[in-house]
Amino acid sequence: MSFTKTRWTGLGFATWLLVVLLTGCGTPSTPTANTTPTVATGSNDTLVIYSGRSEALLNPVIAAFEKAHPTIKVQLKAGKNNELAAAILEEQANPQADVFITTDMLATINLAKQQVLMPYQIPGTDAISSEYKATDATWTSITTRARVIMYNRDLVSASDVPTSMLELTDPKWKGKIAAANSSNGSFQAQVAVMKQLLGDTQTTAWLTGLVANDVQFFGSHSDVRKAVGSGEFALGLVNHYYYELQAHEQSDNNVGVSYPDSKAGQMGVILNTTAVGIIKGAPHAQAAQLFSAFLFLPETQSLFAKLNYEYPLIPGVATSEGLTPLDSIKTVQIDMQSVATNVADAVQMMQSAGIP
Amino acid sequence: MHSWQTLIGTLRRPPSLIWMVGVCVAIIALIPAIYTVVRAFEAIGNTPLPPSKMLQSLIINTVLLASGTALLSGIIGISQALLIERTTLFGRSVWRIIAALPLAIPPYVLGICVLALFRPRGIIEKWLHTTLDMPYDTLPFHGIFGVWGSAVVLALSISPYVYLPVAAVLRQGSNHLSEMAQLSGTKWHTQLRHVTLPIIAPAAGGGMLLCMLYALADFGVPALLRLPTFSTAIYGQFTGQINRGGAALLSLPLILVTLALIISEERLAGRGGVQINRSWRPYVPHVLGPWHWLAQWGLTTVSVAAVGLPIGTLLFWASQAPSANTIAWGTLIQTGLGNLLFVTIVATITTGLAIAPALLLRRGGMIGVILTRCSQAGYALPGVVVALSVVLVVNRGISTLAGSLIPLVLAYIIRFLPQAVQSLDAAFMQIAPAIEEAGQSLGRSAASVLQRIMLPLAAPGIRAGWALLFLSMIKELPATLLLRPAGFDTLAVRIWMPASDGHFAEAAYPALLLIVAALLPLTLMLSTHHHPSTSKHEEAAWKQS
Amino acid sequence: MEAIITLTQVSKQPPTARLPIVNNLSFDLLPGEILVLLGPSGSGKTTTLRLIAGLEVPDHGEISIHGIPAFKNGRQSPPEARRVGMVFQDYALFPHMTVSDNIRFALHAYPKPTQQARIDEVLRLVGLNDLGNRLPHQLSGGQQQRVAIARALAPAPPVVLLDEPFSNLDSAIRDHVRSELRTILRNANTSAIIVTHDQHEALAIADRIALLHEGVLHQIGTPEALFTQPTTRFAAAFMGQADFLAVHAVGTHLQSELGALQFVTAPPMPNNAPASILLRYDDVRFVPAPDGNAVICQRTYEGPLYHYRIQLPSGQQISCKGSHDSAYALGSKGHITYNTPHPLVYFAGEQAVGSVIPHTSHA
Repeated sequence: MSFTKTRWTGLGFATWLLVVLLTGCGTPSTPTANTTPTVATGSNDTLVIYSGRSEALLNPVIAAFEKAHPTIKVQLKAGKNNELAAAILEEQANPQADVFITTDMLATINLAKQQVLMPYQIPGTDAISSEYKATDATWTSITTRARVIMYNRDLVSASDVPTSMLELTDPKWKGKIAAANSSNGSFQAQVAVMKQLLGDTQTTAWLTGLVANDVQFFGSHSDVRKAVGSGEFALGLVNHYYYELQAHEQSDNNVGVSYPDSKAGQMGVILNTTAVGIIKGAPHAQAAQLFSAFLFLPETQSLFAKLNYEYPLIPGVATSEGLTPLDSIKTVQIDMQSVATNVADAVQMMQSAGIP
Repeated sequence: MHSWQTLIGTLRRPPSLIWMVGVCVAIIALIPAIYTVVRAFEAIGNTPLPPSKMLQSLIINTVLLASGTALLSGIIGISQALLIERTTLFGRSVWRIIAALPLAIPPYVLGICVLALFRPRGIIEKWLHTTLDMPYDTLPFHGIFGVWGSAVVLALSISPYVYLPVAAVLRQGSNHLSEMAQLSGTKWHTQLRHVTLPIIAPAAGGGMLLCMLYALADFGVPALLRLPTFSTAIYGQFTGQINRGGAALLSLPLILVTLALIISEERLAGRGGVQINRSWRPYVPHVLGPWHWLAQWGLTTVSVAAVGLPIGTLLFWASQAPSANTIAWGTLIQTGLGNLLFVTIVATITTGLAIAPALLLRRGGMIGVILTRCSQAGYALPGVVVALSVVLVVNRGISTLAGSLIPLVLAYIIRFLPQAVQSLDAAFMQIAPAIEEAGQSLGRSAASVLQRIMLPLAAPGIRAGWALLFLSMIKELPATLLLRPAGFDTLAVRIWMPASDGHFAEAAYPALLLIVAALLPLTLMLSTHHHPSTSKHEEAAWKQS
Repeated sequence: MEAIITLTQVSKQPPTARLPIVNNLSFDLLPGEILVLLGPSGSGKTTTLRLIAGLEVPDHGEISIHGIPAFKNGRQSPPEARRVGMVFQDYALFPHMTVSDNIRFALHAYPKPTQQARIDEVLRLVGLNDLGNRLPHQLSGGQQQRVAIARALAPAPPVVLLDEPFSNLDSAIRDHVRSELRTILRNANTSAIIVTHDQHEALAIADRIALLHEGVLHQIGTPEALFTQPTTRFAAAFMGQADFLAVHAVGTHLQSELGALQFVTAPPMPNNAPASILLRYDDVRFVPAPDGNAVICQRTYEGPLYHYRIQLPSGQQISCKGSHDSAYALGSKGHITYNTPHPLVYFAGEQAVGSVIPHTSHA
């Protein structure tokens, strides 16, 4: 009996291999077939995008781009900003990516310093204010976002919501706050800005205050918004669109938002941009330029505004309905180039304070 | 001369081809460890480490998680094996399959499901709150986070690493000791403690150490359940900044711990292994009587938690998908098939490559053993570190390959080679040394003995090892995320991407596909585990006599 | 005659062992000869066999096979090149191959068309003509052993090595298989080295016996020589039941409590020098006598005879056989007399020094 069973297993295994091999070979776009690096220049039927922002947010844009340029097939590799930045550095000798999209201006600035981005004056970006672009045109901001405090309306009344980042260390919020951890670019950028504005001592005190207040540090902002939406935590330190995303959920959507430090005399709301750059030596540079320009078409900018509630940088593109207009509040005014040199120190400060 | 022979094992020397392949494989496998050590030494001094308080809690968390996972896996796996193989439990043949099923479910998928169900204000709390009107504060689920939550989830997922080898020993092992104990009238629990447990101790210990190594390297589950460990800290260092020095520094202790664990595993298992006894007799199972229901209940609980719960949750999410057109079925199926093809090929290559080190471990003298052991240093390295080292080597050495599938293939081979070597070593260990010696004394070359005697006899074990490799590879995530060329996807990536943004419905389909895809190799593995050719022969011989 | 296998001062000490397993071992195997390596477990006999087969490497010494060095100056020829057949203790048949295929595996040097004929030939030789298509697990232990022998003999090696070939067999068939093996080896005109720990087996099958103890060769010679003229007390005791009766030299005699013995071969020892003589249980006889000073203290029935332990006046016990026709009760008294036509070996310390014959025969 056992003999026949072994027979059957053998037969099953053979069938399995056969099926896998046949179907695998039959599929026209098996990975092995089309991933051999294409020789640079000229061939512009492919475009390889490395993106620090998530697939879900970029896919609609890519779909629109492919529709506009049917000969170009886009290949997207999404990950974390720094992970992909490091990959770009390591692939310097033989670049794989054409375009890099980041969700953190400071990371972009620091990558540009490593001479891996190609200058390109993207058409249609003249109206973008110079603080959001590289002087050598190696990168250009796409959209901007604000650091905010979101809250659960079941647990916190609007009048109690902190109006300053500095209030988050108030013991009355002990154990009630969720935030991202020290590996998060947006949080790092916020601390780098605060370090520049408030100085090391006050920033360190704030960070240790957060740890003392038992803030729960999550791996991602998505976790933070869900935890606040569900009521597990009362407050969440996030980028503004996470609040919007949670508020537009089917359930767990009874959340509110505070744009902190936006009054006169306060430091202002901290902003950070998403940005795009073309990789030096990009195998499909022409397609990369097409795509970069595509990002700043009013329709594309409007996609970012609608899908992810971000602030478009092209004048005249409407923000999503109900979004706090940035020109009505005080925002941080600071030279991001100099803040960018702070990032490593800021991360060190966060970790020394005990933020995982 | 004598010392040289002990070093390279001149007697019954493996063919020089095996030596060549073995050395090459060891060099490839050493890439991550060398990379980590070099980077770590570069980093010393100029890369700030996390503050000592944080390091302390990392160490404590990691140690607790690793030992907790090992302990729980041990308890689950050993009880399952004892109940299924040594009692009159009803439905044992079905339980045999169910107990191995968790292998088909990635731990991070179980983690995601557990989190969705049990987190504070999660699905269950919400349901209790709305239907039973229970206030949230009275609900008990805050404990799912941290060490114990992570350990339970991991243990439920990987307890087959203990169950499978222990069950195999119980099925094949000599029964004389147990019979003697029965004759001398000892109680079943004395028998268990003094006879059965010592017999299964090497297999159980080996399995539990594997679980420990797994827990050390795993990123997904502790990250989901909010437990900072070395792995999550390495990942944080790595995603938090471009500089990789910090990640390397934190990886260094993991390498050392892994080496220590692997060496102790060898001590524990002993190089002798369980060789099938001539006088094999089927065991007379212990009659459970009224305890039967308790046993059934216990097994059911574990399997529901490890298998039923994730599959049920995934099916629920799948049914919640807003509409069919949001799921790109064509792409998904294509991804799945491409993934299967890829894993089939890479698992086969890895198994082939592992033959050389496994033989060197057996016959290669001291250098052979050292080569093989070194190549296992990366066992508990997080996939990220393996991937990074591969990126580095490829870009420094063969940069034209960057961006192709080759780096990913390399990373898979390096990550899972230790497991493949372990399986093959176990398979070869089932063959009595005299069989191999007989082959050579009959005037055949070592290569011919390998091809005609060793490989055919080890075939069932090699098949099972291949299947286990397949299962591990199809679940691989961190190295794939980093190294996949743009445009290449795996089911695991398709699960992780939407799930990390909270789109569970979208993650459910690839997860279910992955589980289905894992079932065939799993059955392949189980069928070999249940009918080892050797015991089949013994059985037949016994029936004849 | 040219030796087939020569070992010269071969030693082997594993790195972890405190003492050498094989210590300065030298011996020859002559053509057509059956040499038995005999010794208690741990004496190094199996290691010696494996050294010859090339499965282990000596530390020192030389091994030559068919006149060609197999191990010399640290150079080692691989097992497959030695043309030595080997039969393993548990036979090591390949479980996934039929009996024929097991044998065929050894016949790679034979042209394909002639292989089957040779397989049939060796199967006939071992008396398993019809079992070629069986798998090893379908055979009894005795049949498996004969397949192993057939496989070892198939390529017609001038010598086969057999490691404890009878240990896995029931004692009922062991005697039969033993004489059969001897016939098979004779018919195949093959020399053999057989390892065993059983001296009865060794006596029955060997042309010569090499007796090993703790890695050292104690004695090598015909079975008769080892049994009747042991060179050490160990050899004397290991080859069969033995008592050592304390004696001392008195002039040209050795004086024992059983009477004087006269030196035969060796020069006389100094007066009063202590020594011992080897007594097997058929070398003495018990003559019942109420006034006797020897007392029966133990009696074992062994079928054809009784085996008595007898206490002498000095307190020493010796063995003595008695006819199965008449049994003496425990406690019976009597005299012990020498009952031997052949000389008795005597030892000074561990070493045999010479032989003696009873001064006055009471027969």
